[in-house]
Amino acid sequence: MKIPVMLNSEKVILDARPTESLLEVLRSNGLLSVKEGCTKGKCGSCTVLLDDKPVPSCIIPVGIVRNASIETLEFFLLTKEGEDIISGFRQAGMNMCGFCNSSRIFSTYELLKKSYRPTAEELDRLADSIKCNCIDRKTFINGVIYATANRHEREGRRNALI
Amino acid sequence: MKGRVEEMPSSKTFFYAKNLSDVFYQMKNISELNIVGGCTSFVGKELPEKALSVRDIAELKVIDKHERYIDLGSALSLSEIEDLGEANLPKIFYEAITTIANRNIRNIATVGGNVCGRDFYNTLYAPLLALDARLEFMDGDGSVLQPIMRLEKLPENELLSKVRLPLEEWEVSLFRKLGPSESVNELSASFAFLANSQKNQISDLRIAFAGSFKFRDIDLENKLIGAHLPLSSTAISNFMLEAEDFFNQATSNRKLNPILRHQFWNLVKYSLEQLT
Repeated sequence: MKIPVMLNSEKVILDARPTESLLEVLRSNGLLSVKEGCTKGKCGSCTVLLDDKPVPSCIIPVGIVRNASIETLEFFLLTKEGEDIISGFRQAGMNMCGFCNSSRIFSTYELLKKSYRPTAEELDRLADSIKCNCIDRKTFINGVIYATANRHEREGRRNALI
Repeated sequence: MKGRVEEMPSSKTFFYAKNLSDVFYQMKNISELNIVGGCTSFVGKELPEKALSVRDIAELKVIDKHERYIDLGSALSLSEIEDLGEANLPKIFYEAITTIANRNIRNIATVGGNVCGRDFYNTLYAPLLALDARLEFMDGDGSVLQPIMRLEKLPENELLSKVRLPLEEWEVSLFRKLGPSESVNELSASFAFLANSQKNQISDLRIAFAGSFKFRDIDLENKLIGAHLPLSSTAISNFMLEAEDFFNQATSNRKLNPILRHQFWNLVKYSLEQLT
């Protein structure tokens, strides 16, 4: 079955069975930043942006994403928003394991999109939502604060750290 | 044929529609068609043989807030509803939404999918029962707004288009999700309790429980309406005996896990203690 989608900002026609998971289809298309973990949508290693929202690609049948926009980490890290986040994470000294990258980066993106300056409660909730233990909670929260500051700097807004 | 059809080597077929009339056309012409949104209820299960995706239908993504109620389109994702915030939704409903799975799953799961579980009453069912929500079902000829209390089973060949939530204020509002936090098993259920008072008397009381079966009994609730506040421990014990009888009666022909039964009684007791 042919499924037209906007994949990483390009119009693409995916050729797959509609019941196949989005994860399988993306990986078979060479997008290996999408990792297979629990396959139940809990661990976050298969997170992608579907219509600009982070979703677990392992539980989504590719049939329902017709005409949707999908972004994977390969593309997202080249965008300005992706750069803000990844350089914020580096500034905080984060060294991610590889399996939780998409979950941490996309969840941070969603929070920063929603909140100009995330509150302590929002940061706590974000840290709670990450299941991987490769980075301690405090470092991750610092990374998100640096990412917020980077974004504000790029947009010429008042810095989050002041 | 009006809608597009895609055949595939396996027996499963996905259908697509652009708008509501397209949906009704396909529902009328294709037998045993299952409506799907985010498909999260099929995790670990087989997808239906024939599925019609309504994820992109704008008419099913409406949010319409009025003075006394709010209408939520059935294809709205749970995160879109969560983003409306506690101020725009009944507190108990907002709390229930935030307990469902994780944020990423809520980004794809729809409210319609949660309400229309075939073999299980999902997390939102108890709060909806307690709030006296109404469900709007549509077919090609029109729509019917049905109180969820009176809904015995989902109507065949009709589409859930809206969930209407009354926006009353509640003095005591308590929601608990039972069982595992991110999956559903025999111990999963949800409990909702709402109470209001006037001139130191209980003026309205709602107790709802939903899981493998649903429970709400207006006769039971009426037994406490008019009772003076604060409730005495005797009044609570007497009500607990009544609640036990009503609950046992409602579950007499079901094999219910004893843990769930005890959790229900404990939660009723705890809720009533909030009124002391």
